[in-house]
Amino acid sequence: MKKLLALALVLALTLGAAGAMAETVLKLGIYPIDTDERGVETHENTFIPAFEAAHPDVTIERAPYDFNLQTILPLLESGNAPSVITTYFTEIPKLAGNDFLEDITDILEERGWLEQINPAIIGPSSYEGRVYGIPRNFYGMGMMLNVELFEEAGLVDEDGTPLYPKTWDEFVETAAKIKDETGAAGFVLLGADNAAGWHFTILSWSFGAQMQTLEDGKWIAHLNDEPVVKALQLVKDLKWEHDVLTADPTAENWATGFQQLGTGAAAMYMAADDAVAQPTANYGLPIDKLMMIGMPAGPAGTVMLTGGNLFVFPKGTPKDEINAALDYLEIMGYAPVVSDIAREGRKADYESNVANGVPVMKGLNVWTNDEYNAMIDELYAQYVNVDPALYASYYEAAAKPGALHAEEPMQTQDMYAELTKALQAVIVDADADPQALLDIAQENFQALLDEQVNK
Amino acid sequence: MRALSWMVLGLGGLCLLLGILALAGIAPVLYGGWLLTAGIAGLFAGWYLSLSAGMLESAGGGEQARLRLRRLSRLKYDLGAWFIMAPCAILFLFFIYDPLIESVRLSFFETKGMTTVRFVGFQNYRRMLIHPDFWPSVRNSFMYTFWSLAIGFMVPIVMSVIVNEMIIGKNLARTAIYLPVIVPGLATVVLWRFIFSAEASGGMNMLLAALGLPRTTYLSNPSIVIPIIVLTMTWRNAGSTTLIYLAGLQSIDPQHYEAAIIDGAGVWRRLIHITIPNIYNLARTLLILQIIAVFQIIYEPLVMTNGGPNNASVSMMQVVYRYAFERFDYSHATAMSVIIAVILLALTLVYNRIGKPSEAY
Repeated sequence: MKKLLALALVLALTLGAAGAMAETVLKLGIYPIDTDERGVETHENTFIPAFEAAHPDVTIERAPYDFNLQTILPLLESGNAPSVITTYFTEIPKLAGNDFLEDITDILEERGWLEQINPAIIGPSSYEGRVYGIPRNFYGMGMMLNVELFEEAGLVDEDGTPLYPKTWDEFVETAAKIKDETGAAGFVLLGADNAAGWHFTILSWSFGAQMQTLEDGKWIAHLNDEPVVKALQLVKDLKWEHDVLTADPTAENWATGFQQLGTGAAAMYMAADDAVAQPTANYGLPIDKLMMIGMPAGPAGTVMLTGGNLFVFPKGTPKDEINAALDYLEIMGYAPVVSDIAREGRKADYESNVANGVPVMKGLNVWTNDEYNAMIDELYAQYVNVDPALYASYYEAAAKPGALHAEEPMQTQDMYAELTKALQAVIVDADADPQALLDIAQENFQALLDEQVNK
Repeated sequence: MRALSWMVLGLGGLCLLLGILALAGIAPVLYGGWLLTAGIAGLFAGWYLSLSAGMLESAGGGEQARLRLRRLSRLKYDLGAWFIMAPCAILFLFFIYDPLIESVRLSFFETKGMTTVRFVGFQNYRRMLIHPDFWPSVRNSFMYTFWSLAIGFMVPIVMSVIVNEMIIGKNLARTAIYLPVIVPGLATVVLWRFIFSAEASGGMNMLLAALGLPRTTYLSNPSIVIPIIVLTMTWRNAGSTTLIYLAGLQSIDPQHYEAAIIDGAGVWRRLIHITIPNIYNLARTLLILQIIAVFQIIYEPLVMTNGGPNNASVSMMQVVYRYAFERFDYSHATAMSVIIAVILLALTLVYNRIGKPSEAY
């Protein structure tokens, strides 16, 4: 009997311990890194106390993580990834396609958040019809201008507002004038990696290109269609006829582009409003000398790629952990919920931008919740630290119907790789034939589509 | 002893069987490669133990027995060596051979991340072969190898002969030659990228400007990008090879030279008839090692050109990197790795067939 009792006691203790161990642990990958002292302070003094008061059963583990393709995979494969991390729209097909993310469609539906996501970004947040992330912000790819160089080149009106290009023809003239007057490059063209093909695709769209179509159940590439050839011819002319690019575009990547722009080595660069900290806080361009405009219009008008960041949940994250993370996002003000604490959360973001010398942007509305958007507008009006006129044309362009364009759907990185090679070829060879190069790209990419998609 | 040997043999066999089943996708596949390697190790250990046991049992009296005992003591002696080697061997098994076998296995499967989905036979290889980056990368890998031999093979030999002949400043020269090797690899690549930058601030362009010449492009020039990259590699790696040659040169018996000098042989004749034949076998080994190393070049093109322009400098290993770390596509990455391994194996075999070691020295 004693033995039985002892056994029961041990069993009860073990189960009790196991029960205690099953307590939810929220591994916060969105916790700021040490050097972001202001961010750490906000999380420690505002978000975490508020969260702990509402969730005494959840333990928070601080696990700052900066998304990076080289480190994410080992974390995911070993099951050590945080409960919530941020990534980019472009990574969703890769991460969800490899079964690395939790499908949160049902959870969002239960919370009533799903129908409040801006319809323009439901697509980029999803993979095969299921939603895998909560958008943090989104943008249309436009153009950043270094106002100092525009001033130096005399390209300003009587109010001192830069005379920015509205079409690709004007763009060429503007770039040439800047080169002549200041010696700086008119434009930073990316040519080092797949980002080159990514930017070039946006340029091609404005010439009327449609890179992929679904015909009779098969995906057909259109990389050598006339609009794409014209776009590549423009790139070639920028280099060889007008000579308005930086010394070696094949060495320019996303980061060096901002360096060239911020340090006054180039006047224009394709970028979006989520990266305004790059030329300013990182490379020293005064915040009142940065301007953003919509993409110059081509024969097909102005077309801007939709991009952005979102919060995602690694595969295997239990539902209660995801819900805890969503509650945390609500406290941070990144959910379509208006509350005092959410307001504090977003306020902290704006304050941080102001303190770090980063332009405060209004951004496009992630949620369709009017009350929430009114809160953001109110905070923006309170903290804006730049002349909104410098960004007005950018937001106007993005707001035009049909201006925002989602990424091409199939084997996108392969498509960018093929376009990048053609672009590099016209940059390094004055005699290169855009049509011939794009014929090769088309043949290569169609073969990949046939092998991997049209099986 | 015998029982122990049978036990180890049995365990080894079991591991091997499970490993094969796992690799074939019949048993749960998670540790297939490990099981297989453990199995092979187990079989070896069992065989060794049974051999020792057999010798212990058959050791009787007389001359033959003494011989057997001597063999046994030799085995015991070997056993000590095996024990000393064991940690290293185990590390090799788990960190070299197991990933190697796993790579081969993954290359025959469709994968999601590193998890296998289904067996697809040679599909990954076929896709690899029709991929637009495949043939340029193969061609370039051979070009890297060719240029590294053309530019870099003789450099350490010449340097070692010169340093060997030096009387004053020999130690200084040795240190200076080895210095680039101790700089972190990536740092030297970044350094060279600055030197060959097409900007006005690039090292070479500053030099041209000082001479009153117009600036030019280097790494974005498809016809010279590979020789330039090889040049930077030679600068970095020649030092360590020079030291190996120097050691080889210093082991040559000075009497050979003395005799040659007495016979009236000049510097060239001494070089051709004594120095070169003495380092021939060493050079032979270093040649194939250089081919193997350069064929797998990755971080120089990755950092300096990202494989461009228009695939002019992309290497096979870089294609592996792109698949594995840019697209999480491990099945294609491993298929490409296996192709690289097969090419290198073939090269080594051909090389060993045609270049017989010199037996003269």
